[in-house]
Amino acid sequence: MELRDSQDTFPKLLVENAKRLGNKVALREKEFGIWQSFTWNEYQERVRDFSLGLLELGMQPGDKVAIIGDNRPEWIFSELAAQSLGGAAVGLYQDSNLNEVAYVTDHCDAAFVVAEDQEQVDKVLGMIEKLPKVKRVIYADPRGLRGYKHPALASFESVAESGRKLLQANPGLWLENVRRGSGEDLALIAYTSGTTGFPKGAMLSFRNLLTMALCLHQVDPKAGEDEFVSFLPLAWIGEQMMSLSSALSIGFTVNFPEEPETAMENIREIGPQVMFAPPRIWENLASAVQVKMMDASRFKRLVFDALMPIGYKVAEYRFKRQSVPPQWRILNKLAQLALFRALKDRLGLSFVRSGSTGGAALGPDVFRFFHGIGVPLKQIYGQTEISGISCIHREGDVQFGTVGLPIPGTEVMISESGEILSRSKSVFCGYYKNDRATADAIVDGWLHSGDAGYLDQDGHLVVIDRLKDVLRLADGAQFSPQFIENRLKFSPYIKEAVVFGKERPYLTAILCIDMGIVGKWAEKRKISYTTYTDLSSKPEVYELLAQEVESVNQSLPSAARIRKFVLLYKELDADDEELTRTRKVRRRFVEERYSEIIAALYADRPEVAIDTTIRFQDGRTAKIQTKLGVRSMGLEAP
Amino acid sequence: MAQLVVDKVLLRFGGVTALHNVSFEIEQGTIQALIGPNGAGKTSMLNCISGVYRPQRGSIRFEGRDLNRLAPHRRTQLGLARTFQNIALFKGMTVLDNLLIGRHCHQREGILRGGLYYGWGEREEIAQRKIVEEIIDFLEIQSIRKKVVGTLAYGLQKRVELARALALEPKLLLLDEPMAGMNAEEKEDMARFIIDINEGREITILMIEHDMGVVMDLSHRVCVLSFGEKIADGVPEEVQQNQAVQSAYLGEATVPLKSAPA
Repeated sequence: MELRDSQDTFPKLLVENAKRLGNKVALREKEFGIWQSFTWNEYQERVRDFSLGLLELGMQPGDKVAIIGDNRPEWIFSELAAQSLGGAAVGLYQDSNLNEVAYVTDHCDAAFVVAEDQEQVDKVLGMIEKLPKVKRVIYADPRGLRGYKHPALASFESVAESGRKLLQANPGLWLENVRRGSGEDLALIAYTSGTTGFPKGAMLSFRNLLTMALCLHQVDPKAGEDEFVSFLPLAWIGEQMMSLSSALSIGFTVNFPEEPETAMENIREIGPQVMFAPPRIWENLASAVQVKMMDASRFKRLVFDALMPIGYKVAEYRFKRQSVPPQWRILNKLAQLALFRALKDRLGLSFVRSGSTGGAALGPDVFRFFHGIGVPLKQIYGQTEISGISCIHREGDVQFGTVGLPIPGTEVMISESGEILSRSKSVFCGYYKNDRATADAIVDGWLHSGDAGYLDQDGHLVVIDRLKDVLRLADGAQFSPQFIENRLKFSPYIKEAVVFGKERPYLTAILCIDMGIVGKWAEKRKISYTTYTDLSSKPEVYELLAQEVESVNQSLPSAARIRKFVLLYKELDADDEELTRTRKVRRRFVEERYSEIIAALYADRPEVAIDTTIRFQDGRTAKIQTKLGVRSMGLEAP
Repeated sequence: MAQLVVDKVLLRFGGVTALHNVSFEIEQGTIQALIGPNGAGKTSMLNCISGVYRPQRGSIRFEGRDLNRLAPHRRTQLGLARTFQNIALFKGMTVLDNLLIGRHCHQREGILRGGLYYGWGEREEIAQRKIVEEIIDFLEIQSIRKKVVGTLAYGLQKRVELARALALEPKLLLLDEPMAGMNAEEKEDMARFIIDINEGREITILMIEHDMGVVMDLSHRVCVLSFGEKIADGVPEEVQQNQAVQSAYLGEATVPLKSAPA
């Protein structure tokens, strides 16, 4: 896939699209209860004004602009504005704490920070003494910032205004700057959330990002008329891939929800054709249906229970790549009319043609559910270092144990140690200021993913786990704790699971219950509870979870079964550094933090006393004193 | 001249004197707190200002106009709005509808024009909705816009009630225990909103509040009532030091209460 010179950077594509699509809607943002649109022309104007404003503030080619905030048009205006001047954008996760913001902002040498609102401005100004390289902090929403007198502060609007003045004095200046850009330029530094150690900044060029978008488009086509809702952090490569790389290449409309809390409602209003979300979102949608069905009238439950198996059966035929027999076809049509159509509408998925999940494995049950109701969900595999995507399921060839086939232009190979290697034009340019890590990641042009996996007989890639987490069982077989964790998490009652067993005699797990669903279950059985801690320590809940673990154990080889587990007194939380900002478990950290619990799991103790303090976001602390029961599954020690 | 002048107000219910010659003033653009132990007459004072009660003696003047003879809805038109200690929203209606009702005093369409809708009524409704949407955005309640009020958590209902009061576009806002029953996080949000309303929208605020931390942080002036009499009035630091206030709060009622100098 070769890029044309006039289309080899984001800003150039923006200019082309404005010429080609002019008054077609490029972006929408819901504000004041109404979807406000930006045409491609307006999109270009906003980027141009802000970009020239940055130039007035002394931005140089090569400067980095750090951006932090929820998904709003200003986010991508800022990114494109920086790129128009030969600079690069650096996205920060909006829920990062002060230290995380300071680390990334300083490490990437950002000269400018664009912060959405008071909350984000406070984070940056709170650390400003440690950020000598930051020249200006630009805010989009002036709310609550009246009393702020810091000399580095400037409003988005005032910067754009000074840009407009410069435009009048020199109308061709911005376009000249855009034309100077080339595909090899650094477009983005994407900081990987890092399950271990400090985040690393992956440098991605326009060529990396655009090649990936076009190659993906070949196997998962999108159209200019499509709608997409951008509601996942723009600092994440997956969202960059959709809202920028793909949207600019293909020209579909990107919609921004009113508030993060209204995202699901807004998705339903838009009815997107294209939807990309990590498993968590799909799981939440599926479990929302389950919870609602628990509360539904008896008649509705009857209809649901009668018709869902039809969908599952038809999906089963399709998964096996067999043709669906006519009688099932007719039944499925009826079920579509009676149930699935309404269900899809409620979830906002009526028009989804390209639905995909990436970032982690999605459970087979959830896969079956969505295919059952007629949402063609596909698994994507990739990493930040390959601009987001290397493999995807193909239409009509969805094998949910696998992550599909490599996209065009991408080669995938398994190394001797079982590691997944990939090679394409989208492989990143290296880690920012970290040559050693770069040398570890790219060897002879092959990107070393750190993931263990294999190719099945059809050439589909199967991902096992992080290579360093793969266990060797007593019988010598390789086994993945993540695989077991995912099996456990398919249970609606289990929100998080961490499995231990490396260099241990047997496997154990720390489980976090799903408060919503277990709470409902308890209410139905008239089990009273107060807090999460209380609910998770109920003997009835332990009994329920033991059944869930037992059913997972049934599907595992005997050496890989969970022998003991505890229900944790709190949920794992990114603010406690137990999860990454993309909500992956940081195993090492959890192992260290709960070492006492783990010790109890491998000792002959029926319970473990907990005396700990938890820290809230505002700095307050609370003491938790409780006894955690250790539940043994009654399997004999090997 | 002060925006609101309360002058020697006396309010009796039969033999009980709820307010005894209470006088204080609120300057335009300030946040004033009204505090005091239970039964001190704080809510009665608020009710006198908003027009629920009519004092037997004394006067209440708002921007120079005597309020005493005005019905509550006339006071609203002058620029007074309030929230209640026990939420007084229409529980069966949506948040949006509750706020639109708050706009009622500013709507001029009659049954005929409103009923015909197209043309004048439509324009009117769009204009009102616009104002309401700005308030929704201001108080960050977008996600519950179309929810029925009765289904919302208590803290959110409080926020909706504040939103409705703002929909009246008041010059003086009377808040009766805006933080009661809230958790720490909700209190913090509410405090931020009160400051934003005061500074950003330049609305004068008179609030009754029991959380002394909040009172001392937010208010420019504090007025203290005890058994229907004003015992102190001043900036928060002064009031905290005041002997009469301390004894009123610590319950040493045997000490004769004297009106402290204003």
